[in-house]
Amino acid sequence: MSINRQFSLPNCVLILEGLSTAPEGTTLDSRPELSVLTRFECYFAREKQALVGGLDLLQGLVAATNDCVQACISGVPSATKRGDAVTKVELKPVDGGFELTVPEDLLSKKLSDFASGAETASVQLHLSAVQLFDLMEAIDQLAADQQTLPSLKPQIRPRTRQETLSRSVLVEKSAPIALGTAGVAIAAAALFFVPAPKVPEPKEPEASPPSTLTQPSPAVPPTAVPPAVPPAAPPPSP
Amino acid sequence: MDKNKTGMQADSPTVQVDSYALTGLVDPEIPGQICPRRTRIQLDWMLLALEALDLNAQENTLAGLQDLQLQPMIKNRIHLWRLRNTNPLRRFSQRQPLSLSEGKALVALACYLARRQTGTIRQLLIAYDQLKSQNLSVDHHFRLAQYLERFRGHFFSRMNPNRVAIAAYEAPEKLDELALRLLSQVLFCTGTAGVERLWASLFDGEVV
Repeated sequence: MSINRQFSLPNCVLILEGLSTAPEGTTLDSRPELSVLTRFECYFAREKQALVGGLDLLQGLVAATNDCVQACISGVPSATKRGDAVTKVELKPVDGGFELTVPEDLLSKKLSDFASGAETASVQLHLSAVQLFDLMEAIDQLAADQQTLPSLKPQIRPRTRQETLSRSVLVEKSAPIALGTAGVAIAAAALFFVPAPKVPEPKEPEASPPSTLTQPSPAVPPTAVPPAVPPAAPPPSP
Repeated sequence: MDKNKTGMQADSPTVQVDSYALTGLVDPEIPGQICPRRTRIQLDWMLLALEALDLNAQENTLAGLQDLQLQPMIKNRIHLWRLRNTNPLRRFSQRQPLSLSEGKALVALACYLARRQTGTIRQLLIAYDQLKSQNLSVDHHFRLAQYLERFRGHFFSRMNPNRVAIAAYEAPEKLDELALRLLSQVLFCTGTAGVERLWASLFDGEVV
C-alpha cells in the first residue's frame, strides 16, 4: 500500500511517497511508518518546475540545506565540498538570496522536459531567505516525524575548524608571509648584482718627523716603539 | 515532562539543567568549556535585534524566563543584564566567562522571543526583498525603517565605540546590513529545530 506524506509551508511543499516495511496488521497506529521512499517532490512558490526524484535527491537537499542554514546563522562559511554523491546538491548564498543547484542525474524528470535549450546539466533555483527558511522548516518537520523515514536526520552539530576554514581565509592568512618571503628574495637577488663597494685602503703614512703632539697608540705594544734616538751631542758651549 | 527531565540529566550529568527547553543541547568539545568570544557577541546581538523588533521585549523576556523555567540559570533582570554584558564589545563589558549552561539558557530565551515575532520577521524580510527588487530604500517601509532605527539606537547606546569591531559599523549602511543579517539569522531560529540549530552554529569553527 502506497503511503503519501506532505509537509506544507507557505513557500515550500515536500511530498513523499513510499512504502512501509512493517507487515500488514502489525501496526496498531492508524498512521503507518513510511520507511521506503519511492518518490520525492519539492515545490517552491513562484517556481514553475518541481524537483522530482528519489532518496538521493532528498538526502542531498537535506545536507545542502543543513550546511547553508548553519553557515547563514553563524556567519562562518563552509570550507570545501565533500565530494560525496549525497552532497551533489549545492545551496550557497549569493547576492540577495541563495542559489540552489540540483544536478540532472538526481532528478527523475529530465531537463529536456522542462525547457528546451537548457545547456547546463543542472537545475538552478534562486531562493530568498524566507523560502530557504520554509525549506528548512519542512525538512525539520519531516525529521521530527517519527513515522516518516525515521533514519533521515539532519546532522545539526558545530562544524570543526577544518570544515569552516575557507580557502579565502587561507589565502588571506598566507598572503603576508608569502609577500614578506618574496620581498626578501627579490631584495637578495637584486643586491647580489650590486658590486661590493671598494673600500679605499689607507695609504701608508709617509715618514714624517715625529711630532711632539702625537701620542703613541695604546694598542701598539711597547716593544714596537722604535728605540729612541739618542739625543744629539750637546752643542759646544760658547 | 518528568521523564524528559530525567533522561536529559542522565545524558549530561555535568550540567544542572532544569528546563525542558534545553533538552537535546549537547555540550560542544571546546577548550575550557565556556562560551567563546564570538558566541557571546552573537548571542547578545541577536537579543539586541529581537529587542529592536519588539517594544515589549523586556516584559516578554521575563515572561520567557518563567515559561521556559530558566530561573535557575537566569535569576532576574539584573542577572540577565550581567550575562549579556559578557559580550566584550559592550560599554560595560563584564570580564567574566559565560558558562555553557548560561549560554544554553540565552539560546532558549532568544528562540522563545524569536518565535513570538515570526510573523513580523517574515514580513520585514519579504518587504526588504521587494524594496530591493524595486531599487527603493528601506525608508519606504515604515516597520522596516522603524526596526533599523531602533536597532541603531540600541547598538550605539550599548556598544563600546572605542572598539575596532564597533567602529567598523560607524557607517549607517554597514549597521543596517548587520541588522538585516541578524533578522534573517533570527528567522532561522524560529523553526522546529531552531534551538538546536542556533546552539550548534554558535560554536562553528570553535570545536576541535
